Amino acid sequence: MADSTTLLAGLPDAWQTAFASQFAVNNTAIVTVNNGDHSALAEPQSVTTAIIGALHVPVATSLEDALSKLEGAVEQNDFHAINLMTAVAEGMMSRRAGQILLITFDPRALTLPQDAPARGSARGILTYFESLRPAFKQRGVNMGMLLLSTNDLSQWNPTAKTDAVVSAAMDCLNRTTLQRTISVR
Amino acid sequence: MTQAWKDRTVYITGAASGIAKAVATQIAQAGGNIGICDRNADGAAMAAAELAKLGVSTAWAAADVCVPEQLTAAIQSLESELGPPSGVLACAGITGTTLLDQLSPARDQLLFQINLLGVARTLHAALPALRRGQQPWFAGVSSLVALRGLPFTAAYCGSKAGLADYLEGLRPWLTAEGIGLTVIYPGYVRTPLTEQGAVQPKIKMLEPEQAANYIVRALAKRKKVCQFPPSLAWGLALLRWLPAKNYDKAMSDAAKTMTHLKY
Repeated sequence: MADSTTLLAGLPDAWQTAFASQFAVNNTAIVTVNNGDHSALAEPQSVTTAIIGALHVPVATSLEDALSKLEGAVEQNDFHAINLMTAVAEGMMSRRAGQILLITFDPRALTLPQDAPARGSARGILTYFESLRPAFKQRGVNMGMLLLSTNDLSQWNPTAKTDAVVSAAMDCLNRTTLQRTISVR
Repeated sequence: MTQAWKDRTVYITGAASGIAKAVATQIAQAGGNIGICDRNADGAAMAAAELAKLGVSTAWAAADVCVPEQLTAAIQSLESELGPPSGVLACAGITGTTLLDQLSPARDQLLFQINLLGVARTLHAALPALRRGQQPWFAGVSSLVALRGLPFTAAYCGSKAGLADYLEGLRPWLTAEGIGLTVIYPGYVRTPLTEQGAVQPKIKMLEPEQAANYIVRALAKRKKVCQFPPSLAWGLALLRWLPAKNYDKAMSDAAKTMTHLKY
């Protein structure tokens, strides 16, 4: 029987594999959720660590195109992250123990108009989590954010950044870092 | 100020009440024609009738900003009555708390739907009409709390912050089309929304007319950003630069003053 349960959600496959191998050494059960479908979590209250990716990066081609891209980004990044955080938070608060790490893009680096949907979505979920972070701390739950800084989402290749991101994320979890930004250009 | 608004037409969402209605009133007093869009049809009709007594042309249309088809139909209706707008002010929004003991994704997502996506939908629904207008502009109402999340209001802060960044991101494309953009960040204003809110910070509330003064002045000057009141805007802007540890401490201390809410 596993000593703990880690949730991996909204992450590229290569990162999930890398994270799973990191946690395997600690007799940790891994649960993965795709598309924010938290109903797939059999026992959300048992999750001890949650790594939630808000990494959907639609690139708008025009003003007309930007709205649908924003709607998609908000659905997949913001709403999924909120659903998953809520699903695991109750169990963590009842135990007064747990960690939630949000991985998303640094909105300050997204200055191109075609990245406006991704920028708005990232800023929204970042602000949401940051507003809750001190409150969760008082309930014994550590919440942190890992921001990925890139200025051109059209060139984004998550697989190529697997080692850098997973290493930074594990460091954040080990040190209970509140917020860290890494360059993924 | 009068020269800026005389015979200009402005569409305003959420103008049945609050800040938006105060802005509509000031623009109408300065000779501007007003198109009101609000999900509260009775409120919109009453507001339009009141403003018409000022001797300007008014029209109203009911629309829920969560329903793009209603927004499109409303904008088309306003344009058929008043002609294309010089400007569109997207002020429709809601408030709400996010409390750890009562987490509700549905409620939090509704704030994002209305405060972020609703304003974005308003912009995109209004684009065809704005392109037919004279020196057009679009203004979206965010909030000073968008500068950095505050206690008990994660979804409200997140939705307003996301909106501000989305609009700023689109600025180059809007500018390329000759459409001005003003992002408005009000502080704490007395409105039906704030008076109902569970979070009542111990700071002085502005009256809607005071808020409208700042907004109408900024719109007349086609300012890119309108943040008010200045003292609160400076304070919250400094908050953005605080390291995470210091920010968390400051927010925890601030939360203790809200003795009726559990952090």
